[in-house]
Amino acid sequence: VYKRQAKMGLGVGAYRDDNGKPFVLQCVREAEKRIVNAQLDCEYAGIDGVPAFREVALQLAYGKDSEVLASKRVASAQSISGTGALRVAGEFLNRFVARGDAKPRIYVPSPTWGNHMPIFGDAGLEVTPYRYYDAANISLDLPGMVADLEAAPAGSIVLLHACAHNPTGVDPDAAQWADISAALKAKGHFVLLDMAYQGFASGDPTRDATALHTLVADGHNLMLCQSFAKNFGLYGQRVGLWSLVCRDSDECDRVQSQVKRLIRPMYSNPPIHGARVVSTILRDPELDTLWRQEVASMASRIIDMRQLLRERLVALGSQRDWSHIEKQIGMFCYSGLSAEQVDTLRNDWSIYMTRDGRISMAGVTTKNVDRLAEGIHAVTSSS
Amino acid sequence: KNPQMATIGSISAVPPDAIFGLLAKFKACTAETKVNLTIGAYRDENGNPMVLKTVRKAERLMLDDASLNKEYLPITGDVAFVRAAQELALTAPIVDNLGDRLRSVQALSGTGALRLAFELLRVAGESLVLLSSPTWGNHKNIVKASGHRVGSYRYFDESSNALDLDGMLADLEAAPDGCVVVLHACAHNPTGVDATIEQWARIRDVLRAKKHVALFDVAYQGYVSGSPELDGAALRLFAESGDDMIVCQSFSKIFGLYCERAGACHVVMSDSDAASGAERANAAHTQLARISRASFSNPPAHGARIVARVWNDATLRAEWLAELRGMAERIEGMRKSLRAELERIGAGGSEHSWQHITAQRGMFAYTGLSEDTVAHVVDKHAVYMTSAGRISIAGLNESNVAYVAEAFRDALATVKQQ
Repeated sequence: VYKRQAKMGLGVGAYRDDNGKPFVLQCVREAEKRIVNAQLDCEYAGIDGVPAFREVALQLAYGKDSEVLASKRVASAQSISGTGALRVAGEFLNRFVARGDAKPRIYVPSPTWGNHMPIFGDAGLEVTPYRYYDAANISLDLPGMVADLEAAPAGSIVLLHACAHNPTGVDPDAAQWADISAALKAKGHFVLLDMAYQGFASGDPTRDATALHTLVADGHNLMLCQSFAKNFGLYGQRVGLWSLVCRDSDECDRVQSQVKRLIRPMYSNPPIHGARVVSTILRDPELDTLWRQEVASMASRIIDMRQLLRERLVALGSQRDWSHIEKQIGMFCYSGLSAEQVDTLRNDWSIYMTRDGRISMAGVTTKNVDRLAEGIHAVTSSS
Repeated sequence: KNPQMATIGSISAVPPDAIFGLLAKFKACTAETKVNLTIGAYRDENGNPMVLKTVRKAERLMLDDASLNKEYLPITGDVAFVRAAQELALTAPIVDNLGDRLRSVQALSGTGALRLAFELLRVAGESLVLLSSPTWGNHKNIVKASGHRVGSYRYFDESSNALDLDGMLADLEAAPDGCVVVLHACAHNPTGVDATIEQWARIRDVLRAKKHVALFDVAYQGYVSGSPELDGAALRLFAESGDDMIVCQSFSKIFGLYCERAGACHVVMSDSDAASGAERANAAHTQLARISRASFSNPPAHGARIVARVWNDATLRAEWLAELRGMAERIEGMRKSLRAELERIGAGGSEHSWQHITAQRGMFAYTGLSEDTVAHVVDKHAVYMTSAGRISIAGLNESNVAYVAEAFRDALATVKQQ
């Protein structure tokens, strides 16, 4: 019967409401109304983007009272969402990184977002995985990760996910982050942090930035890539920020001039609309409060779905341990399903997910969670 | 301890981009009267930035359109926008005739389209890319950043302030076979000098004989005659010639959408021995998608949706065309005013011809002023223009044209002329 049902898409990482519909945040609608009414001009933004946006985006990430911002030592440029920030990062590292190898190299967690490798590859970097996900235990392989970081040559470039690791949903806890930070420091590694889900993981933007704050406090002059696609629901507006913590404001100014030189032959200057929306929201106390409520509700709906899915599986009599569904955080669940099981779900149940067993929990609703649970139970109880 | 910190610490500062540096100087300038003739953005008769009424209308319609959401566009862009971009560049009948030999993607305005095009060409290896002398300052940056070599062809004849066609054709012929030739479809930046349609046919013939690839930069379609269709003649000529062609299109100036980065990259492919034009165009399209995905994943929706909405609504499209014509007419009017004033006050002496001011078309004029003369114009009169003598006609209006003309007259009279 499920074969004939409508396709259930759990592939793409875009938030859906409980009716499975795309969700435009109320604070975004209000901000857009104000922007259109303000009849602003449409002149070129600077190469590094809208200053008002950059300021609040930096504050959101590093904290309003952060020392690095007060010291004016964070270089930043508005980017074409997270992908654009990562590409700027890759191009910057390719041009300025210390070369041991013939080709600069970046270490990425295994697994990582599918687009990381094409981005860094096209930017001219070699991409090498480090151990991250322990498939057997569906958890973080901290010893493996630390060992691989220690084995990497001193001063290597290391990519980390700030929160809500994509695709696994497995994040280090505070103690593990401390170990990771220490391992990075011991080898003088350079940190590139990908933060695409700030606010979306726990529901609290400050809490989701804990790893970032820890690393900065530990003295890492890191590079950060922020996306506003998910936490503001601005996917198609392409809002992001690239930033680099420098030693002082003089280095910051020099870096700023160089990153502008990189961006000019890429796209000259970034699109303004989405940046204006974010800036409008974060600068207005009422809209800011509304945003925090809305991002918290998106995160909590996903957390509720995780709980519901696990309950349903237990209720169906599944003997497998599904605790990881609730332990994992963010948009995705690394189900542990095999490629063959994923194929069966697609062919027999019309349930679509990526072949690594990654489920976009944002696509799960109270209306479809039963079907999902039955499908997962069916393909796992027969093996 | 951290070698990366040391490396980053040794990064040197880049001198500011020339044009943006001039703009900064203009902003800091405290002169009682100052005129900005540098940046290539349209200004109205009061010297103010202008948002098209059609754009404001479209934005309001979008605000009220409950069917719109903020979801990702496809990697290759908004489908309606891409089709609109094709029709604007080539006209609907030609788009339909080309069929699958024409494939297009949305891009981050003109710069983004050029970058995509050069990255696409890089898939086949490094090319020698020939740029007009002079050309837009960012062309060579984009070419180099994409891993190609930069060459040039003669274009502007300083003695006549017009097109040096013989020099251009000679240089294109002397180059090795198989170069990429960057051509400005209309309103050449910075000179304002365009080829006639007869000259375009001769250029096309040389490109064909040399197996060069024509790569058009079209950022001002409609700014020359007021009609995008008239201004697109060169594009149509090449598209119907049966050769390969790439078109990099910007909507910044023609829609006044500078800040939203709406653009498109079009590829027209001919049949080869190995594959049909449709197959080759499809291969190019998949490469463009791959390059886009690794650069920015998918393009921004806002500007593209505005363009598509306007293009696909008969009333809005007519209103937009009227506004575009209005901008072009004001620019043409200011050319006439500037020339008339320069002649009236005898700038440069009675022998000095200002005919080029009205012969050149589009947003810019290449005045012919020497670098030293320009420096005097900038420093003594606070009339800001590029050291190469380029002025943005859009920056002129009835309130400042006399002042500008006088600045030129004074500079030409004061600075020793070669």
